[in-house]
Amino acid sequence: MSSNDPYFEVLVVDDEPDMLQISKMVLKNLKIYGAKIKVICCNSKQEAIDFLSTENNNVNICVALIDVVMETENSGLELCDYIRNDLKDHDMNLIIRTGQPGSSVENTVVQQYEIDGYLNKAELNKNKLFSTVHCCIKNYMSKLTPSFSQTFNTYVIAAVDQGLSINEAVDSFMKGPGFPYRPQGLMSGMAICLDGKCINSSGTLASEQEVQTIIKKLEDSTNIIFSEPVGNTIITQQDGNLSYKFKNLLWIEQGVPEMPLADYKSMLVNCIQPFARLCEIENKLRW
Amino acid sequence: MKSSKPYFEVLVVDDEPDVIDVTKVALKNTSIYGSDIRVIPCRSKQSTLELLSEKVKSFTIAIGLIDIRMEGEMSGLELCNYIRYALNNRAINLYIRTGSEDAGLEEEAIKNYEIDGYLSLSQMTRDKLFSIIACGIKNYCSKLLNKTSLEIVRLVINSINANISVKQALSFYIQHFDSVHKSEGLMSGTAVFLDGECIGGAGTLKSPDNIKSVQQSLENSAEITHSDTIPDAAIMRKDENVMFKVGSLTWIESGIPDVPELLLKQVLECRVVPVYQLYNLSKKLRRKQ
Repeated sequence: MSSNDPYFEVLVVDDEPDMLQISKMVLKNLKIYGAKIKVICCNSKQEAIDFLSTENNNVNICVALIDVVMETENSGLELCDYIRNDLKDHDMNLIIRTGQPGSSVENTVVQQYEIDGYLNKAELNKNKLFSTVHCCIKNYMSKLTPSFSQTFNTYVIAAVDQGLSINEAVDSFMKGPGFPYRPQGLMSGMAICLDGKCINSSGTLASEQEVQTIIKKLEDSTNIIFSEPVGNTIITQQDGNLSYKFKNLLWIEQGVPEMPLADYKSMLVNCIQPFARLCEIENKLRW
Repeated sequence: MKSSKPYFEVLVVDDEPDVIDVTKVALKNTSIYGSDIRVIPCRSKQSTLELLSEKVKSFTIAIGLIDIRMEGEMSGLELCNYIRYALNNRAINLYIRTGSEDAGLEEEAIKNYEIDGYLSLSQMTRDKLFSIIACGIKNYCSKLLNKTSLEIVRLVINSINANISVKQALSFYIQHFDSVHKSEGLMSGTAVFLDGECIGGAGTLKSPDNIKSVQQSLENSAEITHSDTIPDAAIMRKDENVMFKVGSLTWIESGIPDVPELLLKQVLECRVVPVYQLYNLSKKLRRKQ
């Protein structure tokens, strides 16, 4: 197992040590899309807020399992409010663990805080926990690429409209709030190459040398998951490394689990191809 | 003013008529984001396939509640695969609902199929059903709006790159919209104005008279939200109609439930604004050529 293997992070917030312990044991052995799960435990709302507010710690968490009653009657719901409204994280799946699922108070809360589901503590068993986390991670992954595509497109189009070059636009995106990568876990690094030249790289792929090593590795790989003659399109994946090639654009990501083909295709048509075409448009504007 | 209130569609597939009836009764009178829920009943995998065979039909359905064992042992799961892969629909939320207590089957379904949940009929209460439907619809709305925004931005970029004007691209989008939407329910109509000219209208906003009356009602008495980040961008909202404005681009959508403002801001900032910026870029490009 290499240090760049992707993993999913699940946050468990509960004031009962037993619940934390059991959740950790059940989830430890789970593998989704070929990737393992790392469980992060917090025993109060305050501890969870302290953790999440540190260095973009929230960006890699796919699912949070949150107890309702902790420091106070509504601590868990306040934590959901903090995640959605203060951190403005709408990607993380929030699961409430409660004694009375579906009560009228909580149904109001579902709509208010965009909660993704309930786990009834009384019915909680290994299977239910496994199924819930599994579904949430799949849901998170199916939203991750469209949400990234949208953020990236919006940012780069606005930057080019303001007169920035593609290189400057991408650079500003990477440094900006749009992309707080953490160099581990999921989507730990990326590199963008145009006409054979690396214009930007970050995270685990920050060093030019590492980018070259991965390019070589992917070029030699026989694990082509999609190819199409139009625009010479090829998607290759090898050991958590992924590359999209379209026309003169080579886009590499590190820390990618083995997702369904539809997710790669969605990234291709919604992000990679439009970006390659925007590069052409910007190029025509310049010359 | 011709319009219909938006509603969400929930597909219920079960070979037991009782299960379908109970679900219908349970979801009657519930509303999410101020919109009613309509149940579409299907008794078998085969009849569902026929219903969904109009490919675009499936995209207006928010949730599928699907039994596993119908004509065949795994009919429900095969149906999920068809929706995800053959119809390429990632927006609908699919829940398996079964009377079987077979833990092995649950694990198999969760691991190998793209489903959003596995529910046991024996533990299903009305409240629980409601919370699943509410979560599912919330999830569906954000996926659907995001998907549509991506499609439009993609279409506009591709068009500029192929030397097709942004007006032509938007007009194409509207014609396409008109052919696939049902003029009722969710996202029932759309109309776009650029530089004071109406590019076109579709669905409930197809006729110029309707566009005019909706536009007037929005401009006279709508609730206005300004973008925090983009200076001249704003959202005007009244009942099920929403108008997005930036520069000389005005975009009206009909059949929008009372979704959180955040989702509408995403449409403004990630769909309407980029389209307008791309339009400006295309004008610069034309001058250059």
